[in-house]
Amino acid sequence: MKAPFFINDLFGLDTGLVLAVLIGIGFGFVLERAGFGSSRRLAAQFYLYDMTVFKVMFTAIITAMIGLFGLAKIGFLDIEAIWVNPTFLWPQIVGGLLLGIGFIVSGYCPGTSIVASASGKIDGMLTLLGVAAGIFIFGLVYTPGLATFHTAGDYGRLLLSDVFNIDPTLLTLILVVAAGSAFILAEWVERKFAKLGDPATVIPSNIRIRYATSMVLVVIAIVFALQFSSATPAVQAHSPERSFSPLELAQKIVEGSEPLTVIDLRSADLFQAGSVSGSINLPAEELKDPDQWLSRFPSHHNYVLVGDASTDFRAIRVPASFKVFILNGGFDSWKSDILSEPIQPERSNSVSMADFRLRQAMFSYFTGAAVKAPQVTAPPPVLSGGKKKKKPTGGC
Amino acid sequence: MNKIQNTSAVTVSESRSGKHWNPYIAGVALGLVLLASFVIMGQGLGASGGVARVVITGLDAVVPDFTANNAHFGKYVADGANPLINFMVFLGLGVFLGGYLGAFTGGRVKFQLEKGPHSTKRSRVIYAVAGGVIMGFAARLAYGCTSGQALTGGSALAAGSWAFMLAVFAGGYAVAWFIRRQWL
Repeated sequence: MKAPFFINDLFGLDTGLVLAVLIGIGFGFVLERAGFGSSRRLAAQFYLYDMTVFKVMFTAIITAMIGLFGLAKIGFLDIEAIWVNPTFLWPQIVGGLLLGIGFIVSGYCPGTSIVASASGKIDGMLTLLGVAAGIFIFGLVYTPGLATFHTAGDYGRLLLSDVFNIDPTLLTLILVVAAGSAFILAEWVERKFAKLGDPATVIPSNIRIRYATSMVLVVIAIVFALQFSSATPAVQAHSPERSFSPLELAQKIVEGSEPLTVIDLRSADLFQAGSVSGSINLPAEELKDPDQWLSRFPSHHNYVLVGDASTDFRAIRVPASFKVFILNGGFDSWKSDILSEPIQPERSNSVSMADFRLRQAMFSYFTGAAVKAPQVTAPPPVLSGGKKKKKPTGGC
Repeated sequence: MNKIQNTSAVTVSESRSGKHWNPYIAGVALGLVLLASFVIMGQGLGASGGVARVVITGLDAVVPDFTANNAHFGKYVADGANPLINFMVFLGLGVFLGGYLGAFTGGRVKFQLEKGPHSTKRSRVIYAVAGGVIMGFAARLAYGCTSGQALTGGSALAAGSWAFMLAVFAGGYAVAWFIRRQWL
């Protein structure tokens, strides 16, 4: 039995939808118990005399984060199967700013407006109706321009741990400590701004006990995080998906602007018979485990894997911080696209001629062969590095 | 553990009408619900997505051609798909039921227009609707709201969700001062 259960077919869609209702009941109940059915309580977050929203939200985020990466660490949960919000940076920032404005104006967020409606709050129902109207308006004005902005800053599945290039477990630990400190700060801010609050709605509380609670929480979380960061770090891994065409790879090698390592996964015999210039030969078995990547290669390089029809790229697990590409068509297509002399297009326009010249230059660079000048007056392109550059070893 | 449980007894608001939980206890409980969602369903929580699917279903019933041809809504009804058969819709239904359960057992179910002490009913109605409209639009733009982005994406360490979360607080604090008469 391995989580997530639904993704791993432990039950079907019908059961899944019933479970969704149950999860939702838990969600709604906790939100209500946290006091989030009240717009004044929620709005108070922005006047600093009641930081309940901040405290509940960050405690929840950290609890789920420790659980998520902890369960992945012990092998109970397949983190790669978890749906993680893809990053579309610009619409998320602008949408976030707008949502924050809507939050303080209405006193609710969409989820809490549902809870408020359920408890009879008329303002909650009005906000919920407004949310529905706002969704309709978005569809109404979904022009090509808006659609373009909607996908601006597309980074796909991007984790903060990849952005900072650190282990997710370590980042969890850092965030736990940061949240613990922020809670203590929040308690102090609340007391500072207490006079803004209506005495009728302010929670009577014992400051010392609240301090103690946050401290206990921080200590528990630190111990927890240390517990699973002391072992080998959890490596988020995936199989390589992105690919290069032979021409793209050839250009990357010639440009040499980014550190690039070409790894040939074919047998030593085939590798000896011919390979991409400068590539190294490694059996695929040695790259199956993400830890092998980490111990062997620097993460800031680009890696291109060269194989043939028998290579199983899916068996290779690459740490999330690594950029690994597959050479489309393997060595065979390298041979046919780069190592064979390109044929000049019969009916040439400027685009096909440019492509032809590029291919010709690549052919010449990688084979060392002189090329026939194309039957046009324009001179062949001069490549930085040119064919005079010392040829990498590896044989062509 | 005893210490934490005692706290929830101390931190009681509106003690005459039922108990609210200590924020940290509520946070841990919320985090566990979210974790359960990840473990069971493979995805986190959400609210605006479910509302959107209800809206689209309504539109599809009233103006099917408009809905099918709309660049944003069309994909939800493409190939005769039923937008209601979705995790988020049933989750939202649960949120309503759970919210009612919490309010009922806490003695807090009451028809009322909640507003700040110096706000008028009229302005409260306008602000509630206007804020909702802004949020509905914003949640579509940002691929989720406080639940689906900040809470869910935040705990899964999604980079864009953290940017979203910071932006929500920035937007709220930027405007709070100018509309303080609504709430203070």
